[in-house]
Amino acid sequence: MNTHDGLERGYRRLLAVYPWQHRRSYEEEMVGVLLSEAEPGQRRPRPAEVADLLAAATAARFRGAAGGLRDEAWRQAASVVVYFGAILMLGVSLRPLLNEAAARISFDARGLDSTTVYASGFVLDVESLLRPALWALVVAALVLHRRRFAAGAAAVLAVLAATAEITRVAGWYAESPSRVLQSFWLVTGATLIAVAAVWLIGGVPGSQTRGALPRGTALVVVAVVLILAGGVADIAQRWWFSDWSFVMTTDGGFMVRIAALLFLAAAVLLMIAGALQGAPVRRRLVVFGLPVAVVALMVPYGFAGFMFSSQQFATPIPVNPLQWTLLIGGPAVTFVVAALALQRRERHLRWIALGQAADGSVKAP
Amino acid sequence: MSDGSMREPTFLVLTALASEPQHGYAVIEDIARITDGRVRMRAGTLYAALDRLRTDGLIEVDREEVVQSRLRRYYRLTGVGERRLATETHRLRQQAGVAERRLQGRGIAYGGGPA
Repeated sequence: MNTHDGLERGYRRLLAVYPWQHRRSYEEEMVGVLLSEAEPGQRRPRPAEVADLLAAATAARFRGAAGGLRDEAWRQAASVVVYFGAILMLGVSLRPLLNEAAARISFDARGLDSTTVYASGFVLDVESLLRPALWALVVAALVLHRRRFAAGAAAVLAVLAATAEITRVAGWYAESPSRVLQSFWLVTGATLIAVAAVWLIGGVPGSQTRGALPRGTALVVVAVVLILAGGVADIAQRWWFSDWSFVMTTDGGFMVRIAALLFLAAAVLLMIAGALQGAPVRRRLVVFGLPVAVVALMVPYGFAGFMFSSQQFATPIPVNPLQWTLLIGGPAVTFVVAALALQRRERHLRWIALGQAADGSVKAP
Repeated sequence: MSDGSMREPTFLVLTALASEPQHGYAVIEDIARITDGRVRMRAGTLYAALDRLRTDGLIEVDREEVVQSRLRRYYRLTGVGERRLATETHRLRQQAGVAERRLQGRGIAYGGGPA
């Protein structure tokens, strides 16, 4: 072995940090250039070369990952997330209005003064109207979405709607940090929809981002109606049978069972709507859903102690910086890791398919 | 690639390839000559620029050769690359012109010391 061989091996070790596509295209060329640039008698890569190659390799890896996120399946998945997400958020934001309406009807039916509804915390204010109005406008912009301008309008509206959700939840922090945690999945979901909507502005609109509603939209709309109906059943149960036992005429559990059935039917419809997408889009939808799932699981399990302690004191315990980092960084890291893992998995599947195709062509007579 | 201003390594690589198709090491040498030795581009930076420029369609592979068992790939400017380089050159010349006039207005001779 001479010094040249050792130096070349050193360069190749550094080049191994690059993504395989880059190595396949440029490794031999780069080794030639690096060896041409080497000083006589140089035995190993110089620190400046090491730094340059590592920085360039890291940048290439990031570019590769970002490039992968630009493929059509990701765009379609983002489009489905914005469509379905906005419809679901419209349903979620309509629930307080339905809650109040159910309470008023309940009071009126019993000849009670419905103004006492306000004492129970149901207040029809600007915020409770603004949220569904914004999500409804997002859905409208998406349905009319045929040009880049409409994509921009949908994105701006989605950002405003997400901001309204964040502002609403943040408003509870001073009095009840645990309530903020309980609703953090909603904030995460709204943020995800806004990010996906902004992402869709760039690039060439795909087939599903140019006006056509994604497959399964009707099922999602029905699911939202069922969620709202379940909410009404839930509210009716609470107002008619629990809080006002003197008017209880039937088994209170009946309405609970109705609500549970409606929620279950909605969940099944949402799953069918997701399954109607192609396999690559479906896999990406799972990646999009993971950050919300992580928050939904992290709060009751990871923050159980905090939630319990926070409610035991007159002055609520604030969320500390580490907990904020977990709440905000956890979903973001989950998305990035899941997206990279999916790209890696699909690349391996492509290799296997190519190998099988090549194998088949060799064996074929 | 956006139509915004170009980064210096990109501009230098396009300038190096504007005269004739060149391989990677020749581009490094040419850039050092163009900049009077001020810029000695390293391999990682060079190939990051070449990869980006190929992806954006500003350069393409001209030919490949094997010299002393090593692959040499020659790159050349595309029509899009020529137009981008021309646009950037015009932009830089305009800005340099403004700077020159203002320096002259302050009584400073173009190229350094006082007029």
